[in-house]
Amino acid sequence: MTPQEIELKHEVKIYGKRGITLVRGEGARVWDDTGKEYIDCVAGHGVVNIGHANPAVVKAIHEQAQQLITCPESFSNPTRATLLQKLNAITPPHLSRFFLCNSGAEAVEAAIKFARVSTGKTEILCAMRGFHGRTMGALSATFNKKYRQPFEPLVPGFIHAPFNNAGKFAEKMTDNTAAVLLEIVQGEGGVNIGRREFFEQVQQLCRDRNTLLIIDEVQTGFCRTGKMFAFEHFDLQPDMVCMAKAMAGGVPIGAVACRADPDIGVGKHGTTFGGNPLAAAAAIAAIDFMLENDLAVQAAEKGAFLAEELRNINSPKIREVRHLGLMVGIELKEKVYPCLEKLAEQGVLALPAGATVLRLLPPLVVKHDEIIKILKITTELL
Amino acid sequence: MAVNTECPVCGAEIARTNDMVVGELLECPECGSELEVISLEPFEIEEAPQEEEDWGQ
Repeated sequence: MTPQEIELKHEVKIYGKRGITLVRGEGARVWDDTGKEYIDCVAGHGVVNIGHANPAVVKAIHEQAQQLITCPESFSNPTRATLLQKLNAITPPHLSRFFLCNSGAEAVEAAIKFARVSTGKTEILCAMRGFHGRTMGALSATFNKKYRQPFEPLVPGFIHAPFNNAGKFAEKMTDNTAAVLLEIVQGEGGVNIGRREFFEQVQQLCRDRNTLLIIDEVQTGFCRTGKMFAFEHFDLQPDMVCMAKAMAGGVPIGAVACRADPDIGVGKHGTTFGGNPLAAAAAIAAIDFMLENDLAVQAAEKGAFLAEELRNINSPKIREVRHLGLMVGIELKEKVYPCLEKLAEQGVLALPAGATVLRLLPPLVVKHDEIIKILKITTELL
Repeated sequence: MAVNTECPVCGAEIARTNDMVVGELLECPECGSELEVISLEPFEIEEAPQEEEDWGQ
């Protein structure tokens, strides 16, 4: 049996399969089991910012695995401690405490719990079209009914208002609102970029109502949008920041950055694998690579070039091109799935964002000639 | 000629554009529901059929 046949036979059927078996990656490219090469604009759903098989991460994992792979949080560890210092260095000074976990959904889940326990309030105000993960708390914050309805009843207390509409957020906010939870760019929701006035007005609302502002940077964090974190594009001082995906170069990890003294309480939350030295070593190497290679600047420059060239495509199929750094969405006037299949046939892997948006999340180390190839194939198809 | 209509899911205003064609897909700017243009005169939209595929995260 082939790997595809084995997966179809033995995996729980919850994933749409694309009929491609990937076996190797390097930089912005991956290869399938027939040797066919692709430029990878899926990048593990925005995980591989520093490129596939990044040698610095490979070396860090190898060395750490020989020392200590797992270490519960009740014991200290020097690799974990180094990661905490690293996170402290790349986040604003007011965010000086971190909860380490294993994924973006876990980070969101923790932030929701921290908000409730530290404020004594229960409501979480979120954006329509937002996506925050699929665990029950994160799913309750997610808007799309396709993800929500099969699993209802969800966690009570989650309220949604239209993205980029501060007036509606003001209407929905109550004395019982513990936190507002927002993405800076709604990735899964269609690559929708938040407006400056929206964020700044919502932040002021939060300050006025003693409500926490939580920013979900799971997809936008770690240089993807042209800044280390996307909220840095605006005058924002979030109370918590959720991060994951690209944090450790492809190794599962997540974190919540918090203000100095969140009143959570010992024993109120925890995780078996969170803060493990193996993932911490990978994260240290990944963050060092981002800083040493000015990856945020690279993302800003490459994203601007890619988006400008995409906007020059003269096609009746394209409604709009949106981008922040190398988070790029091409909104079509037709279904995006046939286009994704044709792109893959031509050697470019890309993602949907809803039914009509073609999402490009190439590794930030993507080379100029690879961007030119993405443009050439996309232009021919559209 | 009706130039605007309402999202059948959330009631948000959906504007018709000059180059719109029957069968065109769009997403509601507020709730993100996938919509299909059914008619231009009058301007009518419906919720689009859901995709069988799901390659999202």
